[in-house]
Amino acid sequence: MPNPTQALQVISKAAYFSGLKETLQLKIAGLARRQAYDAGETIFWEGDDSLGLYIVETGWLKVVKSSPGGREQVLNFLQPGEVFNALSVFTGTSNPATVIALEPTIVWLVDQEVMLSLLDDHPPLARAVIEDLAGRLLHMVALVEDVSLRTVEARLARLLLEQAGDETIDRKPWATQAEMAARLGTVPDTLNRALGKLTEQGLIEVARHQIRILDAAGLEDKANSS
Amino acid sequence: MRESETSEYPVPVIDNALCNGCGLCVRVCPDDALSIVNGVAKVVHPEACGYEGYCERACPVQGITRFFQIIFDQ
Repeated sequence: MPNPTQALQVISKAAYFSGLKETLQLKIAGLARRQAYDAGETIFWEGDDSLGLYIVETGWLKVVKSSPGGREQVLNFLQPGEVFNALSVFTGTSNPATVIALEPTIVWLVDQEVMLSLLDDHPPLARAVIEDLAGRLLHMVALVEDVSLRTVEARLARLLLEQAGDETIDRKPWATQAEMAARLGTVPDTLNRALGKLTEQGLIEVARHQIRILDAAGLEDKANSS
Repeated sequence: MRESETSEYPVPVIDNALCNGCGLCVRVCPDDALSIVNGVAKVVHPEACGYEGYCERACPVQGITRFFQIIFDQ
């Protein structure tokens, strides 16, 4: 049996749940189910019935869409503390994408019916969910604006500055070009050309496994350009 | 732990579950760092790998990935 204290530690730090009273967090922790996956295992497939809401305790996962030809497009990467599969829980639709563990991973699953019934009974939880969904919508609006109005180079400059400056995590995360391309709403070939242009301009240097920012001020100017 | 985090020479990470042993990466590598071993691609000369990414771009199953750390130059 999983330890509810263990679940509480995860849930109390996750989006949706972090701002709730501990009694409610404990209740959710008691209802969540712990699931462990090895690297390469699939948490769920696109198109399958949605089981519920997932919270990442440990590990690293990728969210992918596959074309009929088998080509895989990475939509997002998930880290500890992140919540996923929310939209299908609230819309009652099937899983919109496939989620695969890239490292040994532990997630907690809150069943769809449990989540919906918790929402009925606990307005603070409903408000937290609405705030999170509104935040996601704002992010999508910003992304659409970004994709339509700003160049890949400018968007890449912003991403590099954000990632290099992220002091909130213990280890520097490893970025892949596929991940960076997915975050910028483009494809790896285009991202590669943009990296080349920033290198030519002396703003960055790609040295083996490091992308070094040589001119942070210049990169900031680039990030603010259209 | 990914190979590139532990190796003295960071090299592209090959997903053996995806690799179909087609050998395209071996052919495009300008450093001759790759070879097909037991039916899957392997970086047999990590010290030669220049991390250019030809293998990553050539792989038809997206089975080769280069990892980067993004840092400010000190």
